[in-house]
Amino acid sequence: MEKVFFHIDMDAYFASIEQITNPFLKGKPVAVSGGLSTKSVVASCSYEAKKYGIKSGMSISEALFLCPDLIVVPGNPEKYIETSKEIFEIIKNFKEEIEVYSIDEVFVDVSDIYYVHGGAENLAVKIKKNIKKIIGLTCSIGIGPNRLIAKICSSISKPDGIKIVKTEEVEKFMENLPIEEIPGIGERIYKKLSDIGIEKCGDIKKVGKNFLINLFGKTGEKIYNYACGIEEPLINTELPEFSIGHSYTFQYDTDDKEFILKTIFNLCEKVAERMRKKGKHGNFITLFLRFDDFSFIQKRKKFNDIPADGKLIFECALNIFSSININKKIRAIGISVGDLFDFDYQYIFKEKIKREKLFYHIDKINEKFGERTVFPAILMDVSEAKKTHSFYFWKFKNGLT
Amino acid sequence: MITEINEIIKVGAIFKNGNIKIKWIIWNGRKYMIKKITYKWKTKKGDKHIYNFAITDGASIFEVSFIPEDLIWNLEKIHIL
Repeated sequence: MEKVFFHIDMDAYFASIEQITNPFLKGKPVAVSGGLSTKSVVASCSYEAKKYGIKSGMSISEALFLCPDLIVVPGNPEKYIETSKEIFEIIKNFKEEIEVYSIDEVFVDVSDIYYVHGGAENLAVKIKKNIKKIIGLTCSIGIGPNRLIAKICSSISKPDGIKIVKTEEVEKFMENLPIEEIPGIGERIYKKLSDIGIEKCGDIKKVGKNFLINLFGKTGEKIYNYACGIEEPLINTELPEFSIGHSYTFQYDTDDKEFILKTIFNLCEKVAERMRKKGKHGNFITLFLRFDDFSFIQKRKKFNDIPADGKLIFECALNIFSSININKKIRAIGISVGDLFDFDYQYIFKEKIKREKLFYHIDKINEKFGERTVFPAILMDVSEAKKTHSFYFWKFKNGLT
Repeated sequence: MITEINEIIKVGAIFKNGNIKIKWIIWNGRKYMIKKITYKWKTKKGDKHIYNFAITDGASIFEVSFIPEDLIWNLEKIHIL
């Protein structure tokens, strides 16, 4: 049976939701950010804003410089998550098994159902129509013999398009594809390749795999395979997790030590929660601090067997934090636990068993009633810090940079 | 400009076939006739389900939430145009 994959990618997802919520924003350059401060970054922007060169990840001040008429809207993560769930349910009406790649991207293996709908393109049209009718949003669908081709196709067909590349067309399609269209080719790799005259995937094929391995090591092999249209694992579940981290950018630069420490504690709690979900312990802690002048410091320290306990991770993080001489205001903080390993043995000390039981029940409650239904009382006044971002996910999405 | 309000308000709504249609809201002693629900989404707070709506009277966008267990309508935010 011929394999057919869909990559369904919502168009300018957060910004589009805000444009539907507030119809007066339609047709205008809109950026969704974590906050209204110029220090926040653009999480998503409308196509009208993209015309000015605004991109996700850019600081609001930079975006406003490019487009002074830009309308900055504070993001509403709950709204986007709930809308995603609805979108996924619509897609599941066509095929129960979907592979969620991110909040607004899904892969679907439609090999066994597309013919029932009169072909892959007809099925894509039906999915697009249903999402548009029920949610009011547009999406782009890439169709290919593997996830890589499907993802490239959806990116090319944006906004609101459908693009199909069949197995027999892959070679020709990849030949003329600009290298920056390959998922994961970041600025660093792009620059290195374009400096030596490699602009298209066809050029990569010409120079050969060994040349790229010499240039980029193991990543070179990946780039070569991608350029040939060969799928490497793209799905997050297949990637080993080396570290789990969270970061937070303050609305305003701060030197309020108590608030900074509470924020670190909050980040440690979030890291611990994710470690428990994955059944992991770690051996390293990395503390990242970005200062008001954009300089930063990153310190890594080895602690043997760091358990998935926010309090204990915080104690280690505090140890690192205290060793840093800080004389500037802090803009952002990140914490990660690295060198993860599976934790599958039983505690024998009463106190540890007690805490393990406590975490088990807290996690169950939060799973049932929503994130952070139960959390340490000390974090009551750092509600802002609840909106942390996972930089593990960022790293995953930018795998080759 | 978006302004956080977070006040309990009076709402006139029709509940029909599992749908909620908001007709008017009263806030600060003024009645606003609602022309359209522009967006709706569900959230949870503890074990309570919250129905959120973005609605417009043609001049402003109001974000309101409804908790069925408490029968409370709350005006969360106003987008002033």
